[in-house]
Amino acid sequence: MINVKLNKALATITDYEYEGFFGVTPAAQAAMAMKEYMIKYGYDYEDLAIWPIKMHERGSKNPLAYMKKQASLKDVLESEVVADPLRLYDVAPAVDGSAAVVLCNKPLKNDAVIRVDGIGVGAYGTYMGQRDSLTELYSVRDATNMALRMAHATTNDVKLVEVHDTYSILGMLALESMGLVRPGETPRLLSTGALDAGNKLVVNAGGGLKSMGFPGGASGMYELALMVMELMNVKPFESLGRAELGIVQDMAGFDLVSTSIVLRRVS
Amino acid sequence: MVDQRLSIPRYWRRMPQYYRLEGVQCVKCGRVYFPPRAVCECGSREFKPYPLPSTGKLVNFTVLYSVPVEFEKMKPLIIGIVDLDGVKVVGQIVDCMNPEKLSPGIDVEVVFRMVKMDGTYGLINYGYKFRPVNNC
Repeated sequence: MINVKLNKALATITDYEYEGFFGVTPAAQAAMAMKEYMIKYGYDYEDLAIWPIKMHERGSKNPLAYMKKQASLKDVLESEVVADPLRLYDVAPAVDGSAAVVLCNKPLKNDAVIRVDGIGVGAYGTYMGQRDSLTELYSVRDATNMALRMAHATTNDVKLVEVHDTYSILGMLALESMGLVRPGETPRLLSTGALDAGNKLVVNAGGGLKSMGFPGGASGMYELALMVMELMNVKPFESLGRAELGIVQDMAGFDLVSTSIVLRRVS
Repeated sequence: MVDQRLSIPRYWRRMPQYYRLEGVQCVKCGRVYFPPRAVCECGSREFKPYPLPSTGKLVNFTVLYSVPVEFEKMKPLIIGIVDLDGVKVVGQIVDCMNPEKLSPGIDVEVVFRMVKMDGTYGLINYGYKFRPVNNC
């Protein structure tokens, strides 16, 4: 059960004097974005439920995941409503987690070398009413463009991506704002399996925050560690093949501040 | 757990906004902002107060079942975005027993209500909320 005190703590990430004060939580913001997304592209809730199903499927194969069970469409549709139309299965569980990344400038000869090729930061105003659109995350777009420019890469080079999906809609919007998927196509591509392992673009191979859990501010490091493991093809990500370029995206709040990191395998 | 309450002086300074929905209008280009900003998109820092109209249209809404701790007794909350003459404001939709009857585009009006009570010191915070014009 989602704790009311946790909701209050989470609500402080909104524009607290004008949103959190009136009871707005990040879940409510995501739910409104989801509603706009459904109206704009003509999807039903059943279409968008593919995100939690796919993420649970990936998590079930990942021994590091917090939720190692598969979910069916029935489970998702019968779960309790958090903020209409967002359901419990769309929300990443709040967990404790840890991850560590060691950076060094003189790697040993037999190490697989993952180089940090580009980093980017983006920010955007927070008040929901002053936004032009709820279905585009401007900070994610800016951060990703900055990171890709620094890495001299384009979105076509990206083979692996880890996105921030505390609410399933945020994962979809992030993918589309990064320019990796055409706007409005994520649910369709996911349901046809075009974003699974073995394809040109693999999204959240470890199961994303949905199955790894959401450890607050540590989530970015979590994703970064996963991406390094994916690029190095260590267990449990052997099936991904030898991808060269991966991008990690993390976001605070609803489009408040985003960071993107481009990682490249160079050995 | 983080206990971040709105301090009393801070709440008092926001009274024109919470009580009268007072936005600001840029003197140079005429853009209206709610909540007030320090700098306009045109670069100007000169603003004059601009009270927002008291009726508008609902743009988007959600029924929030998982609420912050102060709103536990009021759940579910209906959170909506309301377009008041071109300025979009986020707030609660109240006096609506059947949220299924709400839809984007219906007329809403501004009402003045209690928002929450500070349990430790008993301070009552008031503010704007919205209600559908035609009963629902």
